[in-house]
Amino acid sequence: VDTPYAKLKAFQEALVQQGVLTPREFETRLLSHLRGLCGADISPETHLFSSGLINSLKFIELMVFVETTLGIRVPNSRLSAEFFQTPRVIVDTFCAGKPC
Amino acid sequence: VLKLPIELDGPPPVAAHVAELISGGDVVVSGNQVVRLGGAALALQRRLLSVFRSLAAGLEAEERAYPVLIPAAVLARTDYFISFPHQATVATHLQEQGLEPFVQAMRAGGAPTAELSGRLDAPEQLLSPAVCYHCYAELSGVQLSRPLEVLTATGRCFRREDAEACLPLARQREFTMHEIVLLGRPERVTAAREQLLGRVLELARRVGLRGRVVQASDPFYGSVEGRARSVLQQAGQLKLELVVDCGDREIAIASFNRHEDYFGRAFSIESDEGKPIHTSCIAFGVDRWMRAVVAARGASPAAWTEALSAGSEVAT
Repeated sequence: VDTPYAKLKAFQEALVQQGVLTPREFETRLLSHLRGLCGADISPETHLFSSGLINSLKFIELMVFVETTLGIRVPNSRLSAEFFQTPRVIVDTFCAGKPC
Repeated sequence: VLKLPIELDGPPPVAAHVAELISGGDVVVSGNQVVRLGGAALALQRRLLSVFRSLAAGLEAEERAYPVLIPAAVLARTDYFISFPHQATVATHLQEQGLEPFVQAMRAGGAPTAELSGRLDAPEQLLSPAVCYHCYAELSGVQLSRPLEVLTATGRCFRREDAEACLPLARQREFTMHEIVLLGRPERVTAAREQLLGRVLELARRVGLRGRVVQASDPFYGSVEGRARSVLQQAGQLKLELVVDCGDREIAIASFNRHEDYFGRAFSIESDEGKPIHTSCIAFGVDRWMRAVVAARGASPAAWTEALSAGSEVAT
């Protein structure tokens, strides 16, 4: 199936086969994904919500990207904007300190 | 951005007043569901609806009466079936070819529930989960002629709730909702929503309710879209709730929802300026207001008539 979700899932499966994704690699991929999504230059410290760069459809895509790339399901305890403020916060919350 | 929570410091409510109302026979309950309102309870419901209508009248709202049934196709224009599939209550009929065997099974003393199953038409309609979807459907494909349109309606709404979680006048599978729906230019919708929030708070203060306005999120289904929307609601203060103390529990009695241009785009509704409209809805859980008012003021109509007269001054 040629949906963005299916493509990401295939991509994530390929990553799992190749080995692990480090927080640094995840950050690189996340920034690249966000730049494509928002059509803007985005740094690890860019505020995604207060800058107005992320609308609701883009945020849903971002959530799909985080979940499929890391092979996780964001738990209820992390379903708050504070854990998605900036790319760095996303990496620290969902990827840091452990192989993904 | 509003500084939250906004506190309401009414006197301590008394849960026993609610028990008194129910044992008095004006709210009849069967299996955790309210099956009948009469007497003082019905009068209270009517009084509340009249206060909510007055709140909307201040914004030159047009009143509506919508059906209970809503086409699945209407809900499918939104993300309802992705975000809230677990709450859908569908309405359907027996299949033509299932009628005869069904009647025979009934004659033979069969259980209706078991015999219905497997003989139903594919459902094309649902029981309304909320009132405001009808408003967006009504204006579908329309360009508004004014900067702000306000619609208001009372409706019976339906959600899936576990039987053990149900509580009369607090959590019901079928309940009465009154909504004020704001549609138009973003700045006008925002201003009207803030005005209504202020008025509802003033109403609650005059009635003597104790509680607070807090940021909330809808009970989205556990899909990735649902998880994302839950975060978005909190990030943008898209959903606020007025939560009040009823003595033995706290319940949300009103919600203030911002949808930005979501429904404007989903239903192709344009503002008078030719852009997708922004929308906002203010929803009152009428049964829950009944519980809150009685807990605050007592089961005697004299007590809450006075309270709601004070409240209706806010509205007019």
